[in-house]
Amino acid sequence: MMRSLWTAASGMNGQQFNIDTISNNLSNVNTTGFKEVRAEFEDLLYQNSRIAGTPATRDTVVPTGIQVGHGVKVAATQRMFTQGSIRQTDNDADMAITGEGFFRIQQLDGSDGFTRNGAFKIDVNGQVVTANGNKVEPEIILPEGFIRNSLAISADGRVTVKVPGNDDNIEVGQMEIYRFVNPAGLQAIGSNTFKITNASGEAIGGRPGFDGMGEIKHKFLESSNVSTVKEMVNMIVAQRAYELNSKAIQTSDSMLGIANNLKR
Amino acid sequence: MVRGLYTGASGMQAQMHKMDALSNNLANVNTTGYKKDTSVQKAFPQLLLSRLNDNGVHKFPFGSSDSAPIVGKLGMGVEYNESFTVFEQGSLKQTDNPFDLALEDKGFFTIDTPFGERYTRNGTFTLGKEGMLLTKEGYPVMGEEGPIYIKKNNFMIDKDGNVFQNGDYSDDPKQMVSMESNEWKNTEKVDSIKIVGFDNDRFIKKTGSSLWAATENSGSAEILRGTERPKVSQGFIEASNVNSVNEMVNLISVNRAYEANQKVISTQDNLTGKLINNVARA
Repeated sequence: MMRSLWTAASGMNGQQFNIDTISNNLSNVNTTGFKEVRAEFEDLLYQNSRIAGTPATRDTVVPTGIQVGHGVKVAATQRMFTQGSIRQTDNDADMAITGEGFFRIQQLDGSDGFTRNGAFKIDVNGQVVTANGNKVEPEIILPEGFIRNSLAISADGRVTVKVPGNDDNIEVGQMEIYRFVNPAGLQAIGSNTFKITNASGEAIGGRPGFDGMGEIKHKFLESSNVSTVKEMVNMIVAQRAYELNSKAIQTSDSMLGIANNLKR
Repeated sequence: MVRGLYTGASGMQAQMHKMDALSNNLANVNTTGYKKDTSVQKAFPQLLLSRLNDNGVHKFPFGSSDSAPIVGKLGMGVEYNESFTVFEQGSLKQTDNPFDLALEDKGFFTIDTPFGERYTRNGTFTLGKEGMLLTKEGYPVMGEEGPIYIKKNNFMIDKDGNVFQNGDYSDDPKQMVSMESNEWKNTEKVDSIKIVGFDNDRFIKKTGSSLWAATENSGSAEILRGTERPKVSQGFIEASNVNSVNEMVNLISVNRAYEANQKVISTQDNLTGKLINNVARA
């Protein structure tokens, strides 16, 4: 029928996807440890209706070809791992990472998940777990009958706690932080958790505050790094681009109507 | 049958081609590094009309002795000649992502793909797991000495496209570094980004996915140096250079031109109808 109809439709689809991404960012504006995602676009394939360099006459060639593009496609969704702001919570088992890195969480199926959300809990066995009950790795188990509010985590990840009848802090474990060569290649699996992929590279573990790992801030949480202003502007741009493409479809439609009116 | 019918039809065809190019521009209004296409049209060769049945030899006006006097030229319509890419600079948007690069001025990043070298203005790059700078498709971005190996928080790209890193952290790809702990005591140059231009960039070919390919007519890519070299901005991306206002106006004009050509055809059709149905009536 008319190529421009489908080209403009691909534009509308692309902007729809853009709005989907923006909506997800905005809906997670208060999600601890959430990292914003950006939709990226590229042009689709081109149809050559005349190739440059084909003979025009016996001794000249056509200098420029005719290329018609077919619209736009989504190239990638790029996650931006910039630091979110840190807010104080005064909650015993909350921790935030300032700088690079992730906490390692054991998933239900035994595989590793990685998160920036440090809103941990202490379960009935005294173990540090996520809100879903998944264990934080390496395991940290607090001794029985430990004194509430005596839990302390240093910037380099040493976990200490006090027990009744003893004034000394007992070291119960060491938090580790994990980094990736290409964190943008991690796969989000929901619940603030990421999984390793072929693109991210293997996890590189280390002590917080050393070898480029971020530091742990105890009793703080990291807010999402979504900038509402930026998302709002992107939303306006995406909506208008959507509208523009709908106008192109209307124009194509009107042209088809005109062609149809050739024969009354 | 009637010449004008085909002339009008060629006009409608040409406007439809224009519409295709317009739609593609509008679909890519948010595509990083996209350059808009305009369609260039040319007139069909004109016909020279002569009187056939009436040679002017020894006829009035006196002195004319053409055997086939010329009436004049007749246009035969229009054809689509070329899609022409406008390499105007798009505006720069700040993203603060260190892997986003934008070029200010003419030039292209060089990408090594399995089907040969390709060129792009879309600088939204990323890192592979080996630490190689890649495009979104996973093709290496070329430096002047080959692919560029860098590490997050340990590279800086200056306005000339030179890539610097702190040599203290460059040995082991598994050794990580943070923004704060990197003191840049041992800054060394890794490579320069291979930024190229063409003698005739009018003739390079779009291949989709934000890539261009060189053609015979464009000449091969040459590394730009000195004043010709565009400025590289790290943490910025170049927006598409499609101007939505102009494209909207073009939409209207294409639509109306299409309509006008349709009227031409309808008119010819009416006249032919009159000829067939009315003239021969006794």
